[in-house]
Amino acid sequence: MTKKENFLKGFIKENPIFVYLLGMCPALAVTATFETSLGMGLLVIFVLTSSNIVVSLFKNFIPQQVRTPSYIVIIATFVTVVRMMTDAYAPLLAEALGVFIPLIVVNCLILGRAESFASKNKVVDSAIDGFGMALGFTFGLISIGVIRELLATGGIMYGDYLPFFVDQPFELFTFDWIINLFVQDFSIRDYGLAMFALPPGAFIALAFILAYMQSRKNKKLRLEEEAKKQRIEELKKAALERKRQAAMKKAGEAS
Amino acid sequence: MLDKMKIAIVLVVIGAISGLTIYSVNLLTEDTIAQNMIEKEQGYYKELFFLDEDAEVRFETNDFEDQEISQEIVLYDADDQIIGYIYKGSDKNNYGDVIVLLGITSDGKISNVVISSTTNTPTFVKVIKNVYLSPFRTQDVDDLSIDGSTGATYTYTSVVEIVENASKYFLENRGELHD
Repeated sequence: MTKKENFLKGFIKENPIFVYLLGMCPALAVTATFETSLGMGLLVIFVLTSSNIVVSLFKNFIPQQVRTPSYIVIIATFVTVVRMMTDAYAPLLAEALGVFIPLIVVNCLILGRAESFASKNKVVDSAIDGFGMALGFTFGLISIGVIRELLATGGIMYGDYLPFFVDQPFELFTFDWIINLFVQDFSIRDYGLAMFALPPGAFIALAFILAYMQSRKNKKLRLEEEAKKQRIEELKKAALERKRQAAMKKAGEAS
Repeated sequence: MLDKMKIAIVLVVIGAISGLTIYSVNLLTEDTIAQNMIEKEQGYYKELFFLDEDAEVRFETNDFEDQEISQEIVLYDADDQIIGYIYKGSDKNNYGDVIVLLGITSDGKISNVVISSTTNTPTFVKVIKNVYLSPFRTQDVDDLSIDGSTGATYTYTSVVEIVENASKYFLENRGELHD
């Protein structure tokens, strides 16, 4: 596997949320808005990349018998670090994510990558794997977050929880301006499907995405299957043709 | 034996490095976190008396040790008139700590109750915050009426205990205002 393939595999092909269904707790619990999804994603990027690097660095020193507890201590250290940093520099995000920040420790994705990849590969590859997988995880969270927030409020906000680069919260995107071309004083917020901001909305949004991804996968498999059948048919035809020609040749020689 | 020693040493080293890392980050962030907590709590002061966010207020703090109520905050407006008294209390239940702020007006009426921080189950805390704190408002501190039906939840029991302790403290120490 090349470094590029290693980096990109986590986005779609081996996406932790949509393919492996790992880390579902945060995927369902903190994706009510785009911003909380992005915040959780950033924390996981830091923890997963750092823990993969450290596990890979120390893989030869950690005895097999205490492998898992050692990895958990390493992951817990990074989680405690991000928790303190979030409390200090993004307190509103820390409050919004609540208990799900310490729960990153038990995120299967992080321990899974430490066990299955970082403990067997070089530091650079492990870092790339961790970063790519965490970006894929973040992409998954953001996809769910954007769908939920759009359906619940009709827009996407930024600046409520992540106090970076902006002084005031602002609307990143809204359908209002399109609708206002036809209807004045219309606010889509009044018509949002509030359920999507609640836990059932998380399950429904995730179900839609998984169904879409599965249908794409099925379509791809079906096309591959059809192409394979077509190839077999062509090979059969070619073989029959060869047989026919051989038979004709034989018949010609005989006559 | 040597293997066990090696395992022990590795675990000690990992633990020590983790401890040092956490200690260093704690040193780096503790002041900022403490400042954030103070600002958050001060934000509640205005909420307790339904003041505008840009309202000018001043406050004096009295800290108590070894008492059920850990702090009394006297809130003044821009003209140095007392707006009310805020009492901070904490309680420990089976699910962790609950810290409550209670605002009492000078005439002994509960202005508002706020759960400023807790480690109790968020779902239950949300219900208590949204539904069961508002009935405390406008109640007289010497004639509290507690909703018995929600007494079964740990969070609510803690809130009630803190409210009762704060009311008791107010009556004992600021009772002359109430009379």
